[in-house]
Amino acid sequence: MYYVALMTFILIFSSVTMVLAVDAGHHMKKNKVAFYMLLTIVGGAIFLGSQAWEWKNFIKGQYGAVETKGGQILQFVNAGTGKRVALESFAADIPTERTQHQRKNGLWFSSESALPTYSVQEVVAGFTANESLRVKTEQLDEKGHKIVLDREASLQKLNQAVYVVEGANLIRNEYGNRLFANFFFFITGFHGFHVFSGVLINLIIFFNVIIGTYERRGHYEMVEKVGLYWHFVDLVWVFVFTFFYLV
Amino acid sequence: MATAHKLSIFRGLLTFKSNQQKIWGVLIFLSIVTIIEVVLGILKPAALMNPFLGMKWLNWIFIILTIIKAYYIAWDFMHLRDEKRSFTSSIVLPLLILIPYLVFILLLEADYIYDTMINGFMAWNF
Repeated sequence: MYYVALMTFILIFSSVTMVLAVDAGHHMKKNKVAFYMLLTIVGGAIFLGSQAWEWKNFIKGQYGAVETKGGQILQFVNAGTGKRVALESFAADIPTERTQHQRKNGLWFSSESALPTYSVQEVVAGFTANESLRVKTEQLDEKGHKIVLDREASLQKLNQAVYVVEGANLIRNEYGNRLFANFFFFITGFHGFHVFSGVLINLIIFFNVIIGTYERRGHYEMVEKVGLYWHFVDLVWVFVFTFFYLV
Repeated sequence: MATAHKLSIFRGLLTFKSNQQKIWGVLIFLSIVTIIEVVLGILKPAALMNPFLGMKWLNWIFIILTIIKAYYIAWDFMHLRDEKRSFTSSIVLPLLILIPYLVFILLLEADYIYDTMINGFMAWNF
């Protein structure tokens, strides 16, 4: 949240340097235009880097969860603190022969994606051994908080677990509903792609400013055009920020 | 492209000396609005969690603040403020008509799917 707020400020600030570049263009100040365009590009690059880092964290996951037969996510919390508990801190170690099915060690025409670090059996065994753990479901109580089951119900619910989920992707999401992960990656991905192309276009215009193309042309209208695109990207982020991080 | 800049914001309440100053002023305003949003998002005051017209008060506040931010980005950064009235309207009016229509369709469909999930199945989680 704090980090995304910082990203928002960076993008708004790069929007401001873009306006300043356009304004300097109106006054035909070549060096100022170049300087502000450079700041804009740096801001866009920082934003893209932050986004990539955030995606990496979400894809890798933090705590891990299990998925039930019905496709719902069960998370693990400590009964005392109510905080989420990572799989690695309680999962039992049960030796197994199970390995990832690849073309080279199985059927040559099929393969599967990488296996989760822990099997369902290991998670269930670890959960049974650890008295302080509870299951947090996706269902909400009347106040909008996720319901934490008591010990009995937790153990019963865990019988339905069929898959260990680590991180979020378009198929599974340890943080909650998979539909949210789909929307999140789809929308921020498209926005990030627009930022990326914005940075590229900004770079092209930046080099054109440096070699004096617009000075010779007599006006800096191209800076204005790329600026409009940049503001559009910023405008979209304002909405993405609201609907994916705040609401 | 208009050559002269209109330098007043907040309906003439605040007038800047130059276009650059106005840009910085708008940045400060946008930052303040963003800070308010972030603080509300972290605190989530209990008084604002009650529903109103199908949504929490807090979410209504977020959406209104967002639209305010969008207005200032479009009006001052995309310099719609300096353009002719007819030009501004031709950009904004289609959005004002089409986006609520799209939101209406999405909400209707999503509501239907949600109702099906809640009422249509024997069990939500099996």
